[in-house]
Amino acid sequence: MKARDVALLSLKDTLEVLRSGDVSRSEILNSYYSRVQKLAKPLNVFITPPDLAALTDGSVSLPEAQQSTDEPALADSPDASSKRPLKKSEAQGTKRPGEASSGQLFGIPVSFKDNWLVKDTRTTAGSRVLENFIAPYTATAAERLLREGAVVWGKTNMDAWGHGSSGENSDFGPTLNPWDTRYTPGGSSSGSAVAVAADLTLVATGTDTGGSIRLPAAYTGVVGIKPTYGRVSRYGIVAMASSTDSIGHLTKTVWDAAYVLSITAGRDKYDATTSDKPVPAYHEGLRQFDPSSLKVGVISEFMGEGIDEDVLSATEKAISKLKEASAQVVEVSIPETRFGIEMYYILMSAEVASNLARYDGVRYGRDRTYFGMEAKRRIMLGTYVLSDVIPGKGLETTYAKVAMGRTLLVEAFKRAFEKVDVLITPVAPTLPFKLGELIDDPLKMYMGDLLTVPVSIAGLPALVVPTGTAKNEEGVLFPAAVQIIGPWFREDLLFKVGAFLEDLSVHQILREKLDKEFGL
Amino acid sequence: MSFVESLYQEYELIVGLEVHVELRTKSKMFCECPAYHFGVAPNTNVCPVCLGLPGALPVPNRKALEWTMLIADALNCKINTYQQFDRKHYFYPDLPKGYQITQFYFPVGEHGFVKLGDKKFRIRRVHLEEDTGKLIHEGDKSLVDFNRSGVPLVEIVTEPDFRDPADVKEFLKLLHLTVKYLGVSDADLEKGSMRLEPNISVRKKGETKMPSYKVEVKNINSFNFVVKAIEYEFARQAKLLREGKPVAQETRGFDPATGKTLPQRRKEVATDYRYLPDPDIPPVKFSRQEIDQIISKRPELPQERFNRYRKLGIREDAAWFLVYNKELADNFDKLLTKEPGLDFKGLAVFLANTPEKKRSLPFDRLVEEFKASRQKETLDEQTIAKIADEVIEQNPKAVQDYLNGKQNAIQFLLGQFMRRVRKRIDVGPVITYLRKRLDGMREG
Ligand SMILES: [Zn+2]
Repeated sequence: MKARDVALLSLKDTLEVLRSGDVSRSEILNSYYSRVQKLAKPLNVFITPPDLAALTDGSVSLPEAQQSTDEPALADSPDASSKRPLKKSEAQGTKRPGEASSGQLFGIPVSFKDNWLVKDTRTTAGSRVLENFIAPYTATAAERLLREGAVVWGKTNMDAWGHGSSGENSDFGPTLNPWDTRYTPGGSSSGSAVAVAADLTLVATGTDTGGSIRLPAAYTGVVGIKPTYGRVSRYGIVAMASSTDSIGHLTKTVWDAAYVLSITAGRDKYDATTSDKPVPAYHEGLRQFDPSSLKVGVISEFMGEGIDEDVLSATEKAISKLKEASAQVVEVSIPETRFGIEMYYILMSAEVASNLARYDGVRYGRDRTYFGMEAKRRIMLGTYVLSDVIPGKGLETTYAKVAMGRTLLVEAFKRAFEKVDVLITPVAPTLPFKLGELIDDPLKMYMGDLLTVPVSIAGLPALVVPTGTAKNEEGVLFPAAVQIIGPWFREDLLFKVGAFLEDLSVHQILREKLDKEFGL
Repeated sequence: MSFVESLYQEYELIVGLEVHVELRTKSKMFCECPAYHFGVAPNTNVCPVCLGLPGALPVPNRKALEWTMLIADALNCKINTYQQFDRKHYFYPDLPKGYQITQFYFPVGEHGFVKLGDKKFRIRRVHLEEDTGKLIHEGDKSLVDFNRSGVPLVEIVTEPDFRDPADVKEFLKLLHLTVKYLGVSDADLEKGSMRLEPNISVRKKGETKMPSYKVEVKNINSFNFVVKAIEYEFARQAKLLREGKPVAQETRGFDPATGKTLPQRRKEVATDYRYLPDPDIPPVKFSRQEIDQIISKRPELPQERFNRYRKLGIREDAAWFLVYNKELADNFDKLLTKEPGLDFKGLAVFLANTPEKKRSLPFDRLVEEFKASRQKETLDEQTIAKIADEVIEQNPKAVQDYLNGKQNAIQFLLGQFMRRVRKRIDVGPVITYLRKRLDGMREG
């Protein structure tokens, strides 16, 4: 195999060639590194790029597995342990890649969205407020990856604090869409999506609060999984809106996404909102899936007004593929989803204002003037939302009313899933828009979340897979993608349907395009 | 009538209390750091959670919830099966998250009361929250120690039912004692593990509406200072009202040196705190059976112990003395089972009368002294004769009564004898001697 082609392999195939001994771990890192050198800067993918030299000379310490992450929750065995997370990570040794003896991701480059804390690496969350913040501990989900031998392959660019659908709110400049650099790759996990799409890494982590994994996955033609709320620990990941923050990742294929979730998912005693439901081996038996007994729902509210024609036809194409395989397709109406955007922007901004209160200028070396425009907008909105709390009238506040609406939405999805196994919808109302096109029109930008936020509010899992390509009105070719929504904790089903629908040739088109443009 | 007396004639005092009690759980409220923070090197008992670092999440300590239930139950509160934690937002350098996790909407307990004699004082709520860090001022620098950040803190809020500072003091003493009996806090006022905040307002006598303001006084570390602060505030506020001036809603600090209160900051109203149900902590649910089980393990309360002692026939003042001196009472109770034949009524009185500096002696020593004091001395015949003869000589009326057939007179004479001896003696030989002498007089 040619060295340059190593970086074009999926995770599944990379693990295969590693196992057979055809390719060494250093060949893999070198292959990715040569692409990083050519593409990372022009596309502005990383806030902290991978440093191969540091990784191989040992000057960078790679956090190691913590033994205790799977102990019973503190809530169940309180007061007993004097173990403290900081002290534990202080005790972490330094190991270079290649020194660990095993691990399901041994030697695999994983890029972390820059709101994931990885001990001793800078973690900015895309904001100048944290420009100099070196994480003193490692996020649980990151630790589970590193424990399996993953290599920290840079920290990726993102909208500051996760606020945005285009990457343009990053204080470190926007990430460009490799399909056409005049366009946005979607946000807020912009750098992670482009890192995977441009083959600069094998796996990139993300966070999805209202669509931040799904939208950039769709806009760059990669696979993005937003797990059920509580499936993956949020501990150690800079909070945006705590009640919808979901921790996922972006990969080249559905199998890769399933494999990685099997590692990151599960109960964490440091996150009281994680579930102790068992974690299956999601990646097993994906190809054997037969959709003939599948009941697929199409949400009528998501297939009409406000959705572009080219997006609709791409979604319909994917649905026909399922029909051809004898899946049963029915239309379902969930009228509660129409209030999704309003509900989301109230809940989210309230929680954002609260979560950002700790960056008060006393710590982290930067005062509040370093907040960008969008963060300030959401802090103001959230503070307003929470300012009508009257003692004795707890349930009449705006926030409480929306929380009740949220219950109605959850009930509506429950009813839908009594009728169907999965729901298939578009991901965004439009194909990628141009950088600068919507930045001065926040309301229009927020509407881009129309199809993703109801899922977030309900805490459901959703998988985005590329299903083909579509041309916009200027004739620019972009990936087309669908969102597959499943019942709570049914990621297993999403991966099966996703593996059936994914079109791996989409990534190939981008590779050929990049080869030409950048002379790779 | 003094000026202040005239104010009391015209105005009525209204006091509600907020009392904070730090729990002595092993670990903090939401993380695994040790909760003990006195005399610990600054910022050594800290972790991402209690430092409020990005990404850190709180996981509630179940023991702290159980202990808060014990306090709530001891104060006759209704304990909620559904409890929730909320974020209370405000800016202060010792508050690393920009909000304090507390219970606003669904506290551990509500609607309780405490009885003092015939008076009943209502408890509005008992809830659990986290303590803040501590500011240390050194010259022109301010430093923060986060060892205390996240230590479980129980807040007990009363209704504004107090009209008399003496009742406030009684209430606080009993509350302090109750918390110690439950064993859930050191309740050390000096160290700040129990903090007292009276809310004071004043209205014209006969008025039934609550005043539209209240003044909260902070930094008080003794029951007597609470009384002083209340008395000072009453005079200050009543004087303002008499002059037709409004009293500002504010927080004031108490200065023990002058006995005065001084303004600290304007009090926020609830909307300024922007309460938000904490999305990081799922609501805590307990079944009635679970709550009953937790409470069934609660130790005996002061009032219960007092009632038990009274049933043993122990004098009221001695019973209260023991109840308030828990360690002594614990030893006393051990002895109750070990030496059931002992004169416990006498021992209780003896202990209550023991001078304060002797109380620190080992309990066994105190009991020995008690027993020794009960040892009866047998006087020699000469001494008996000498004293008895004096008594007979000086009490001719009693002697005559005896000679006239009043047998009781001998008791009076014996009493007189004892007054002269002033120690516990074997009275048998004394009575024998007295009878012999008196009967001899009849014959003579
Ligand atoms: Zn801690």
